[in-house]
Amino acid sequence: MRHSHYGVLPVSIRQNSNILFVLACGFLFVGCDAFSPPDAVFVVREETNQLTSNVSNAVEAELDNSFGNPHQLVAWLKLPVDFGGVMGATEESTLEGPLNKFPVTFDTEADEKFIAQFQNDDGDFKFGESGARLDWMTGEYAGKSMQVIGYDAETQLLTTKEKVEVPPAAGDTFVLSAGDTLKSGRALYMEHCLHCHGVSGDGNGPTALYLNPRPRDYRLGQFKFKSTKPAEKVRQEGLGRVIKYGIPGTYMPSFLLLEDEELYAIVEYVRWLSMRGELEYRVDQELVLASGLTNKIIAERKADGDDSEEIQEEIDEAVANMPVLFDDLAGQLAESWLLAEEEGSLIVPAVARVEDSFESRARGRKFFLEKCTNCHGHKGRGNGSMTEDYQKNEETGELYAEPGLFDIWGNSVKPRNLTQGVYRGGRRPVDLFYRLYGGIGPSKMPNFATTDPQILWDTVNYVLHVPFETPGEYIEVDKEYFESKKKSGGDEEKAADEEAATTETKQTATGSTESSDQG
Amino acid sequence: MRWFWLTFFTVCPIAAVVLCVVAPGLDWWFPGEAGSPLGERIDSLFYLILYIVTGTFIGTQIAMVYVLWKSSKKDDERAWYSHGSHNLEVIWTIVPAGILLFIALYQMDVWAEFRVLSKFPKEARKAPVAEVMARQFEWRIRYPEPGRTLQIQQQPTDLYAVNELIVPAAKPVMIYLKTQDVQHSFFLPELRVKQDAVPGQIIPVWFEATKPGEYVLVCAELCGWGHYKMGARVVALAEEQFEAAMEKLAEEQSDDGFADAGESDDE
Amino acid sequence: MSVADPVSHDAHDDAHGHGHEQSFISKYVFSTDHKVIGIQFLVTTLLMLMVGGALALGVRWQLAFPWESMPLVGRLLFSGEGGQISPEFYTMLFTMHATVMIFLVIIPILAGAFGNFLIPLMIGADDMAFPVLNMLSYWFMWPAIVCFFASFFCAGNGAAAGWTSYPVLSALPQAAPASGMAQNWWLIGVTLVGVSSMMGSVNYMTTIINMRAPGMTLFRMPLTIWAMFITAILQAFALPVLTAAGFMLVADRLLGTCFFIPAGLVVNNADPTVGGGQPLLWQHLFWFYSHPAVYIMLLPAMGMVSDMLANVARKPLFGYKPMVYSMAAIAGLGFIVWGHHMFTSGMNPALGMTFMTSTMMIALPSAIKTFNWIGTIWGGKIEFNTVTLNSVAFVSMFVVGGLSGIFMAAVPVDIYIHDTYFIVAHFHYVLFGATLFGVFGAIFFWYPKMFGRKMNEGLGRAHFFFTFLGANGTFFPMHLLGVAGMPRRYADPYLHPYLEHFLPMNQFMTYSAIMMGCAQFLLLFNFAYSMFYGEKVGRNPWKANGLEWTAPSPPGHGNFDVLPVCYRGPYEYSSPLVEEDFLLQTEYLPPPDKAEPVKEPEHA
Repeated sequence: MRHSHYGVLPVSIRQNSNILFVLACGFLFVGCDAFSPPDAVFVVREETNQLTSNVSNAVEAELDNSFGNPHQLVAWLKLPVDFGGVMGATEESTLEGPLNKFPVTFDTEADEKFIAQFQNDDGDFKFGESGARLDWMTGEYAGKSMQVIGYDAETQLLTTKEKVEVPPAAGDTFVLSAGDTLKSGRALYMEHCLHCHGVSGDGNGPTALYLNPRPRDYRLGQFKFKSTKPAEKVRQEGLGRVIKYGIPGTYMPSFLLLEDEELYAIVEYVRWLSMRGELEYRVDQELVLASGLTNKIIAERKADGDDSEEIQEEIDEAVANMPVLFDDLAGQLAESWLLAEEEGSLIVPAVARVEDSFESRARGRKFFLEKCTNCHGHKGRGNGSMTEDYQKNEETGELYAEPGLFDIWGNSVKPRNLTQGVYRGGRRPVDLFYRLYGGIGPSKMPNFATTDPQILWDTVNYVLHVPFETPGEYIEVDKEYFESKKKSGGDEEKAADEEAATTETKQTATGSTESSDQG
Repeated sequence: MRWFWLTFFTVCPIAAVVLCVVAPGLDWWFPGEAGSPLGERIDSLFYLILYIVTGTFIGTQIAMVYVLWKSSKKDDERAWYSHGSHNLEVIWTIVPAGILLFIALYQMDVWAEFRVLSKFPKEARKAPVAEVMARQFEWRIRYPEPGRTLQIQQQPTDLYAVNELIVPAAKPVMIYLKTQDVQHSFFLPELRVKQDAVPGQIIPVWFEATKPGEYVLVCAELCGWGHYKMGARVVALAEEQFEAAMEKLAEEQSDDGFADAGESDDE
Repeated sequence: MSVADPVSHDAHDDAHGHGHEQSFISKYVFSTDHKVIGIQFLVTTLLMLMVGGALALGVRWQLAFPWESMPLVGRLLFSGEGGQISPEFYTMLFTMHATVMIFLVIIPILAGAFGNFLIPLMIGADDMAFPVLNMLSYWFMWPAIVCFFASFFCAGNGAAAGWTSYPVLSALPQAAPASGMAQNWWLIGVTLVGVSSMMGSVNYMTTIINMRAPGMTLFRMPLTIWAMFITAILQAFALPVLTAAGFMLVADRLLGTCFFIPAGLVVNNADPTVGGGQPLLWQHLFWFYSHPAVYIMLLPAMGMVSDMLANVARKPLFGYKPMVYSMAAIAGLGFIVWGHHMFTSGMNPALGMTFMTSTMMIALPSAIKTFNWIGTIWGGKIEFNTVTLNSVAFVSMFVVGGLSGIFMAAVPVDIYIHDTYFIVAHFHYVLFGATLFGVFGAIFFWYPKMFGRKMNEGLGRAHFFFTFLGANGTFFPMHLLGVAGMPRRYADPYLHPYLEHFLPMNQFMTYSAIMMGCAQFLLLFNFAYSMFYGEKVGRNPWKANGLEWTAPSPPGHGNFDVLPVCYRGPYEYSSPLVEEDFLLQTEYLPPPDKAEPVKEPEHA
């Protein structure tokens, strides 16, 4: 049989297929990791982008300066966040010469933490290969850092990698492993939270698009479910509870299996993200509302014939003033977050829970009819008249395009359907009390901080019982309520309401306790 | 090349067997001893099959390498002109059939005990411990109030928990398994229990944790993007501790924030 | 190359012998010639194999380096997250990996590529019974490919409810991020693939029943043809069920019916569902198709390997009839074992016992076949070329896949290993280990018939070597992961402490998988290279017996120079009647003298 020509391959290869074999092996072991990973980034607010470029660059630079980026976090000590690390101070030392050991004491509380962190079961200390980082706060070495490679709990001697000629003076303070909490918070956040809440906590991770309701955007510093008084921020423990137990009725799952330290680290990281976001938000507000430094406004001013030099001066001033602005606003922020942790911010019911009885629930029902039906509906199904109306956007003053209620993030919110027995903020009586007393500010549920706590407890009892209501249970209460309304000059509308209520009562479903009778 | 490939086809199965032999020592095996009596029986069935299968595997691989070695010899003999052997066919039909039927029949009991409701331990059937409701992506648990029995319908006195199922140890317990949304699967690796939670159905599942302790609970049926997140735990407690835990849960559940005002409620 | 060319025609002059002049389009694109269609299927499915493999590597990447930037994808789609993929992207990856591999690679490469190419040639027909239908069966695969690929561009980057698409996850648009349009496209794609397969299977049945050459009795058919025949029957009976189920699911999604949606489900905080459907219904319907489909994905490879093993061993197939019967038994039993996919699903426990028994029984014909394959090599004259290696690998891997199946067939053990990596190991041993090695062998074996040239042996062996090591390195440790209780379809199993220590093992598996993936370039390169530079061969390079080897390589339009007449079975290797060690099915031998009956020689 005739051979055809073989093309360009050299003769030896043609004839010896084993060489091809060897070549093939070589080809396979060439690494294919030619694609370097991209860096995660903190996104910039839309408002920041609208600022004129010099100013927005300055804002971004200052943000970067104060918070860093996801790969290089910056611990801005002005913020009330536990960045992690152990504080300590050097003791009087008798050791001399170039040395790398000095006696230290740690903060009493931190000491245990420190030991727990680095000591293994045998009592030895492990600092890993590169050691733990030690940053000097005061004294000769202030601002410098060293690597700690050992610690003896008995003699309290700390060993560093570097030897120093002059030992640090007694009383010099330092921080060990600064920023550890924040760093581990970031790692955990990237693993557990990022998909929904996004790298910057803007509630816009890759998975967020499909979720109902949308994941929380931390960047306004506002949270729905908290245990503090209406105007206050959320407490650490409040955030911890949400992460630990999840939010039923949303996609926020429970992270019960996380260790307490992990939970703490995540909480701190979320608070830090929240502060970062809120600071940016406030800076933008300041620059837009007070100074009017957006591209749009400047263009308008120029079109109106304003002096462009003057505008440039304003811009330069704003840029020069940026660190001060950040500092001021961060100060205010820090105060409000600190305040939330104080005892006085926590809602504490003034009286114990009123015993759950029909009378109590009837009083609660009355309060409910008075205050809650516009949103939650007469039967608590979350279908009150407000959900059908067009609401006004408070920021722009215009009506929303869709009927129904909207939260401060501009997402549509549905008043809770109380017949389902799902309570997002928790189902303990005290959780419901928090909701009533503190309201849910971001979604515009009003607070009843000034209402008699007895009545609030009655309402809690009523709300908790809605899923188990028997048909017509409150028919008398409703009648009485509407009649008294009529007497006190109720108008036509109320009468219509009453009618609606009674018809609904008649066709009451026996609670929507799922379809558990199936199967 | 003959020896190269003969070695190749010898070494690979040997490597596989060696890997399986050393695996338990390297902790590449079951997540611990079976923590339940039924799990122990499942394990012993597993090992029974494993031994039969390993024997068959080694046998076929040896036969294969042997015939390859024999038939790849370079000589001038012609191949054996044979269309097969009736006797051999009969033997290698009947023997595996017998073994397979034996395996099948031998397993029936354990299956029946695990799944047939009338074979469930009576005490477990009488008083289901909890209702486990899977949802994307967590396990929501509903207990009856201490002293009551669990009803299919929600009760005002019920206690709720999430991602932690507390059960008494060393006695069979039954749960009702259901799902709020899509299909999930209730999987306790250490207790060798797995049961899908099917939308629209309430499925009773029983198990018994021999020793008190914490056991892993995960989801084993694709339930969406967060399938892997559905980790929870089953905590088996001695009888008294179990009751105490239920009491504590009841107390927490009725917390009105008044009595313990000022205390940290981070629990 | 001095291959004996038993039919003494010139091999070169008849490429266009029977054909009339055709334009390029009608000859190579919309061709009705079964050989062109077969090669079209082959090339398409090999390309899809690369796509499916890339998706698999994505899955493996995430398991080895959880949440680390995925090459390419990370930069393209998730740059803001530092290249960290989203969990629903992961679910998409494994869903589409399975979809592409099953519906666009394995089923079409077996039935579409080899079925088309081999059936008429092996039974001595000049083409398929319905050539136009045949052409359509190929061209219906393209809309399916388009549909599957369209789902990549929908929200969620592709269907993500698993290839089994269990409702309610797949039935409610709000249940999974990608369950919107992507899932619709996916379902339409599956339906179209079904249409394509159905056209093929009707054609194969008709052709095999009606168009065999004179003398080609049923029991003279090569096992490849038997396998294709049985596969076609399986497809014809099982596919309508899947199609119906698919339509029901589409109706649930688009028309608001609720075949599979029960009442009262709250998904993604939407209002509770209404309806009285049963999600288990889908599982029954789906597996009623998909279990036979497992055999659709295996039987043709079994048939081809039987033919190849007899050829390379230069020996008649050991136990031809038992092989045929066991294939028929697999097909028959294949219809009554679907329930073993649902042991933990909450169906009636009594069914579990029934299905366990029938499932155990289906292992039997597989065992018989394995023993017969070994018997075929026994006493043969074998040479370790690529065909031999791949065929032996087929048997070897099939043994592992078959034996691990016994664990799953046993219900109590399945309680534990169901939906763990043990299952993943099992079906990869069967579908990759067995079927694909069979396919690789078959590509090397019939390539000379397709293109008139041999594929390069060196490259072929290198491909085999790396693929075999890679496959075992990837899939064998999965058994251990399964025993350790690692569930399937987890984007991040290490979240659970009891699986943390398996990270290094998963990394090893991923390296193996990458090696295996790269090795497939060798196959593609070899395939393309040999088309132009491969060694030219005559009609019968393997000295085989089948009818296809009497046709020119490549056969012209109409296949045969003269209508072949079949005188004997296809496995008369080393027959004492002739001097050579093969005896063509078409070769007429005068009846032997009755006074001197031929004695079977003793086995040495």
